[in-house]
Amino acid sequence: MHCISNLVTTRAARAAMSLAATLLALIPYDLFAGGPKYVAGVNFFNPGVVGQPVRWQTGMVQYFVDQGPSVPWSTINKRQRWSMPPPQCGAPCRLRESP
Amino acid sequence: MVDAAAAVWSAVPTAGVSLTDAGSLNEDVSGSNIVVASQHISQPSDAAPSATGTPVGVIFDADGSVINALFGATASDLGSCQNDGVWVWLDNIQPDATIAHGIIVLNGLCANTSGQLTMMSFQIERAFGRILGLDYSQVNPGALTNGEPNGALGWPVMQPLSGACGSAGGNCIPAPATPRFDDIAALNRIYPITASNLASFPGKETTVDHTVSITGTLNFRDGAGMQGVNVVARPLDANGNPLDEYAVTFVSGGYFNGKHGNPVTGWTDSDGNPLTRWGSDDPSQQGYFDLRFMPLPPGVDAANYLVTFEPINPLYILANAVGPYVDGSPAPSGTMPTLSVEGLSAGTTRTLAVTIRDSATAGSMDVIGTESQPRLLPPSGLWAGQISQVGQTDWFFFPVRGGRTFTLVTQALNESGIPTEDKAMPALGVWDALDPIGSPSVGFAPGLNGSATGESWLRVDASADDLVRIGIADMRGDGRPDYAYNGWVLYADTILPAHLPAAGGPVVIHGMGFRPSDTVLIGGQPATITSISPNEITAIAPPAAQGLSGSVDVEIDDLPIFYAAAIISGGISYDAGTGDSLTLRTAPSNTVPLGVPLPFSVTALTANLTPAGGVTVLYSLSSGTATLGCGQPSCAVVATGDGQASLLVTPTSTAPAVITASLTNGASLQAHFTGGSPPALSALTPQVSVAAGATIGWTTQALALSNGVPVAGQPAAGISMQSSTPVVTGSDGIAVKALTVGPLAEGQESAASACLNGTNQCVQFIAIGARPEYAWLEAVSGTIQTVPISNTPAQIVLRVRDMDGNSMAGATVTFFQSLYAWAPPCPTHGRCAASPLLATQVSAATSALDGTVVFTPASITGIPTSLVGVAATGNSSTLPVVLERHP
Repeated sequence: MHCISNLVTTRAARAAMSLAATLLALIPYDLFAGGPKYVAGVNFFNPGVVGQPVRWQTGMVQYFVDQGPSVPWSTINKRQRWSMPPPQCGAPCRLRESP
Repeated sequence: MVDAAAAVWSAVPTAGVSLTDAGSLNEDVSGSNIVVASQHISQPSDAAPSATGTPVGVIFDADGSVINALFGATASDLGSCQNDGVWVWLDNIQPDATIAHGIIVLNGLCANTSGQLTMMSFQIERAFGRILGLDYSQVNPGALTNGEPNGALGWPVMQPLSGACGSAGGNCIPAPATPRFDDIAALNRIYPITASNLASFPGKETTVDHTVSITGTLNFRDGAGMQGVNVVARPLDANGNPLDEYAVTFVSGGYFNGKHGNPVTGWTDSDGNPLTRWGSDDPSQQGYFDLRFMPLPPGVDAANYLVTFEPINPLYILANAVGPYVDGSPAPSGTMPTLSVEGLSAGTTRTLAVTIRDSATAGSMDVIGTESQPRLLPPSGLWAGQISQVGQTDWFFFPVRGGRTFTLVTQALNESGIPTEDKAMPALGVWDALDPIGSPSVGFAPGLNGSATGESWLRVDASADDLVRIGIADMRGDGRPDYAYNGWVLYADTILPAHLPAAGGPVVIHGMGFRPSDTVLIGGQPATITSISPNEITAIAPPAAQGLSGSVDVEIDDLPIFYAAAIISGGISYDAGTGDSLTLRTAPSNTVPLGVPLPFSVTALTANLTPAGGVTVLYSLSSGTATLGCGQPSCAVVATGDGQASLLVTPTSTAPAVITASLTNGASLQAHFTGGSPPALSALTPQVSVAAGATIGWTTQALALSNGVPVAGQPAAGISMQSSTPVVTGSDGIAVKALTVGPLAEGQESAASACLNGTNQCVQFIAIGARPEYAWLEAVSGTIQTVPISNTPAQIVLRVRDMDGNSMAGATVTFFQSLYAWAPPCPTHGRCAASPLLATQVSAATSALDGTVVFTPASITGIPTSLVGVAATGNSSTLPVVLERHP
């Protein structure tokens, strides 16, 4: 017996994987949603936090930027480039309805 | 630009958030030094998930090579900068629900123009929002067209789809560097400032004391929580007009799981992680909404609020999902209210309990079967379902035959029964029914993959007879009272007859799920449909294409809306089909007398060894000399309903002769013989099997020859039989004599002889008393018929055989007929239509010399009927008869 649909895969390709003690999951834009975005569920998380938003523990977060040579599209140091204040919108910047 | 984006969030006075630029990573992360493992950075080590000492890495990907290495060769495409200008992810989340590491990657290919840089600044703000755990939100989506002059001012930084930006960039929202009330309230809820952490955020203030809150539940009328509804709170100005620019939203059930997994599409994400990792399973959270910690509008210390409920834009899915339903949020059920909440001042909270009185309601029969105890599919192949509970799957099973293709279709419906894309997303799975519980499906289809509105579609090929189990579950693993659907299996089981002449002819297809709009193709050519019911199609098969014979596919199509098809592979054949064969009953062999016709009898069988009635058996002289019964070098004989074909073959030479009997598919048998000395007299009907106790008339025939040539009409050729008056041969040399035989005892033989006058050359005719209690019946024709009321059904022809397989004459066959009023197939729900018994009839017939008996089916003029009959003979032989005369 085999099947055809507009999108069919076998679950052999969805083989279960064990969870590591620490979740090392790539979470780009498109994988999960909640309101807030990430809410602890019944798997992986401690029972006491199920249903709670996932957050930085203290709310104080440090970020580090990488360093590198000047980039092809500019003659200035890219750290400088990225660090410039946002430019003002020019004539082409026209608001339109969000899809 | 990065620092400015981070500062947007750090500046929220009521949120315990501080984003700090702590310096540089140890290197320039680029395509030359990045090592990717399972879509995260494993090197450089200070950008790896385990690098909690550098908890957020911001990577300047000048040429897009880092993004490409992680997500594919074209992921950094310059033409989609509104989507790929900035990438962000969290790659280390701890079991205590805390975040330990995340990455932001800026696409240098999207930073070439002023407009792109403006957009990138906005995208970095959103990326930091993601880093902090914020979801996208939907605020004033129709601001530019709905007469909300300040609506666009309420568009949040966490706007999905990069706000209003295209690839050229620009201002994606008005004043993009200013977080909106919606952003602020969302951040407040995750990072509230309380007395215990106030000291860590100098200059900030406690959240609850400087904001207002509204919480509550949104429920269906049966009490189930209604998840996925955008709940919007707008403060009112002094004139009672809503201040759209200060709108705050929360998607109901935002803390509840929105993608549970299901037995059809699986329980894990693409990385193998359980889908239940995210979101609560507490039912009390399903309709909960959380509008806590909203800032009051500037300049007031209290405000009235308007609370409304709206659907999530169907475009907000997957990468741009808003709320817990990543795969799409269903439309709210029932009429959404508008509520006023008055007199909210800083520090106050109001709780609302909202029940939608005209929402959908679930029935008690909504859970259909279990995986271990699936329900038999309704006979019509059609059913109505409702996936009303989270985690519910509807399970059915049904038998299929090998060589069949069937289509499983569902169509999601809204509360009015109208097909919709905004409610259930039925995913379809198929298993062998005996597969262990919990085993992976043989195949599945995701929800709403069909071309019709609300359609899910799965086509299945069955290579062998099987018992099939099917499961229907919402693709999200969700279940709600408003998740109704229509289910349908289009399956063709059998077609009668199995063989058609080249001219085509009437056929009857049985199966399920047939609909009035269906079409039938036989061998790729359209058939003319004469009637359709859910379980039966009658049609006129087209003539075979020029030169075509053999097996062809039978296909029932439901096009073009549903693209559903049921196929019986090689289900019917023009003349002999694939696998048809011949078996030998009797044939001349070795040396046979010259001039004496002998039967060459075969039985045509289908691949599954049932009689292949209606096929053409071609007898031809392959070598030597002989005369075939039709007088031509080859003779075509159409097999009777029991597959038998016979031809008389007369040896005319002493040289070896070969006669071939063949089917159009090439299957053949040969008779090899040599003509020997011709007798002066031979019996053409040498033996008959007669039911013991019966008396029959037996027409015997004897052939007189002279040197192999029939002797006609000569006195010398007169034959004496049973000492009666001599019989004179006809022009064909045959003398015919009618005898009366019986009654005979079981096993008793009765012989008559015929002798040429004046000689002692005689032949014998023997009647054998056969035991009628061991007689058995076989169908010749007419035992299964489906005809419209306007047509006259054919006679029912049966054959009686004795225990040795010989045709039995004189046997009594009793035929019991019950005539019911015709009724359509049983409906999916409710009682079957009444089918009263109209008449019964018992009749008897005696088998002829060839063993056949003929009955006329009972009928009532002008009334559609279903005849159920059984023919019986002997002690134990019965044969069912089914005849339908439908309207």
